Amino acid sequence: MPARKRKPNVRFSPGRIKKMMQKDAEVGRIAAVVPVLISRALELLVRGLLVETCLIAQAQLSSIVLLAHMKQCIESEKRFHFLNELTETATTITAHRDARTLSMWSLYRSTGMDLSYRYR
Amino acid sequence: MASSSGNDDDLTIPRAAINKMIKETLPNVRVANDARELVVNCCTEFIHLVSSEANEICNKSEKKTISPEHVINALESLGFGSYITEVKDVLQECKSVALKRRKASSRLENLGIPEEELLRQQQELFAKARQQQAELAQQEWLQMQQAAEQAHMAATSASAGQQAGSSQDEDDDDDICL
Repeated sequence: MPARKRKPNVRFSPGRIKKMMQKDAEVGRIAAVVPVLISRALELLVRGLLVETCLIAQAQLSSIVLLAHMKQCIESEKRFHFLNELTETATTITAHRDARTLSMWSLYRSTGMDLSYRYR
Repeated sequence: MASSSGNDDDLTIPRAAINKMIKETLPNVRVANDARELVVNCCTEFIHLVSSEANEICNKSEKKTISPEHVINALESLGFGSYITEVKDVLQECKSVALKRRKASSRLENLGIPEEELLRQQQELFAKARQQQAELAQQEWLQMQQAAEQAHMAATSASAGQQAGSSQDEDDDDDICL
């Protein structure tokens, strides 16, 4: 039974994390505590990403943190480079949305575009 | 789980969790929707990255289960060494919680009464309870029998007095119906 009071940090669901880990067919057994550790690492990643992106946005005198800022953040740090592919897909979709007024093709497309990123 | 919204392939960290993190990390800062979406997907990517690396390390170590040590080494090799201190803290916390739980259950055993003795006492209590139930049941049965006999006697005397008049029957009916 999950004892939330014992671990009061903002945590991501270890159960969900374990499921996501086991998406990879190569991954076999996982010690019970591992998803909890990854949850913490995730927390640190998200925080780092957000803070750096925010700094970039502020440096560009933007009051809103935009996708473009985040993309810059990912490109600027070596350890975020594993996210490069992700930003390419994201940018493409945004560009499509922005070009809606220009291209005729988008008129024939349904407006509810699915933004889910598929892996493998 | 009764409802299965979405396939297994669309597993991500819940958007709400990310929104909460954003609110905590950058209070009073507006963050675009597509930027938030990117964060959600970054999490997925990170999980796969670390899992893959940890798995490789695990395979090299000839162990079958991915251990905390494997994860920590994975973080180091992926360039996230700065995360290790806090991750180790979480590990320590989990260990101490598990230890406390184990101590609690052994404290219960060490009331001075070994398990076999506790079992014996439990059986005794069960036997006693069973006996009490049996006695209670027996009493009820006797009471029922007595009541039945009385009812039978009442019925026979009533039928004897039936020839006397029908009004008497009505009275009897009234008594029974309360």
